[in-house]
Amino acid sequence: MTTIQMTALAIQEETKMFSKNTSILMFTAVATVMLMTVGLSEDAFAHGRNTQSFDMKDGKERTLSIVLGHTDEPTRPQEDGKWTGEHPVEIFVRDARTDLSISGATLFVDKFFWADEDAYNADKNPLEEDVRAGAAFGTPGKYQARQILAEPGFYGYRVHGEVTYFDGTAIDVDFQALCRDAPAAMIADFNSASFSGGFGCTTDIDDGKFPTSP
Amino acid sequence: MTILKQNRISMIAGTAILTIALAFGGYSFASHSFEAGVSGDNIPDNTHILLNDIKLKKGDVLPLYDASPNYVTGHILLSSPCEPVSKGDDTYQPTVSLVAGHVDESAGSTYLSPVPLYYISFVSNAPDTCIFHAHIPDPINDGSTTIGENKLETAPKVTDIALINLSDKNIKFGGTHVVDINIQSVLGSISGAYQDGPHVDLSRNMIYDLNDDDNTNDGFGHSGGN
Repeated sequence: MTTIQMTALAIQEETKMFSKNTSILMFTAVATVMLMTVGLSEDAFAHGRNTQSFDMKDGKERTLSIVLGHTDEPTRPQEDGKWTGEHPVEIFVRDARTDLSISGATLFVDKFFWADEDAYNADKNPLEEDVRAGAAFGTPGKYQARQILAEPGFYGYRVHGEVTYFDGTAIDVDFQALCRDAPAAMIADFNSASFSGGFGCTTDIDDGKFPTSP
Repeated sequence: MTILKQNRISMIAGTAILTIALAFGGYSFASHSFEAGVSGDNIPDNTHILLNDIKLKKGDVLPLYDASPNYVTGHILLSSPCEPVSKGDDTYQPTVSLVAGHVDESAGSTYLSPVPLYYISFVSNAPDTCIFHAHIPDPINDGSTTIGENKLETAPKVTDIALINLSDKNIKFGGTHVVDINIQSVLGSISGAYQDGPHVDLSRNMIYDLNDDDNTNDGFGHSGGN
């Protein structure tokens, strides 16, 4: 039997099976899952992604996908009476091939902040190191390092630690990325080559006002 | 029918019902590390298909589930007539084959491969009825028994699940033969996932057995296992 014959057979059989009631139920199910997909896609809003390949125990290659950003993008710094500034570092660990979430990772974050490019060139060291990104309760594969952003500017993070793949393979993780609205020279210098896309930089909450005061 | 056989069949039915009940309860208790199940207020979608009196001729296909355009995670229970994987083997394979992947309107975007199956010996009554579990998707274990360049890796993204008769004989299902598909989450849209196809591997399912003396057929991904 050829592939095309088999595909045709499958479609024929599928057509025979579906009654009108089944079609209505399937339509409802599809509509439901499409809504769920919209919810899932919000998880990755304004986030960047690090990808790295590795070999499983049996030698097959797999790719790890780690999505990095802040919760509740776009981010604003804390300002009394206006905004809490609560934007934890948010990390999603997934198997790139299947998109299955990977739980049980041990991850840490080194935190960087610069108000402008001159500050970056003057001192490139992190302000905090080895901050634990703990597993988010009830959401396998999601990790968070809680924080309140205090100032507008350029935030960057180095994510490091270990991820254990489904077959038990231990994968060392170490990459860093700066928010995407920073000057290109800063991003080129700071970001790991394996990181693509990006998360938003933090601007003053009054920057988003409309209309602006004369 | 002996009392012993009646008890075994009752045990099989009871286990199947328990499995389905657990699935409806919203949590998967499988030992596999890659099965996250569902949590919170999410309710899994369960499809229970009685195979009573269905006959599959050689090459016949019985579509079971189509989640397109979404690829999904889930768990499958198959109750089917079975036969030893090889002569004298205490591990059994179903006489029918279970395939999964994506059947697209365009053949070039189609990917279908056998699903890794776990033979559950202690609730099976071979060769009349064997119970198999499968995990959708299985990111690490081979589902295909093909050797060589025509071998396909287990479908990483699944929208479609089907039974197919790859044997030389007709397959006749009886009253206790069922497929139960528990879809637990949607991972994304299948659009663009498979290209340059069709990619189709029509080989018998690879069978794993955690309960025999042979540890080479345990597969990967079991908590506390290899």
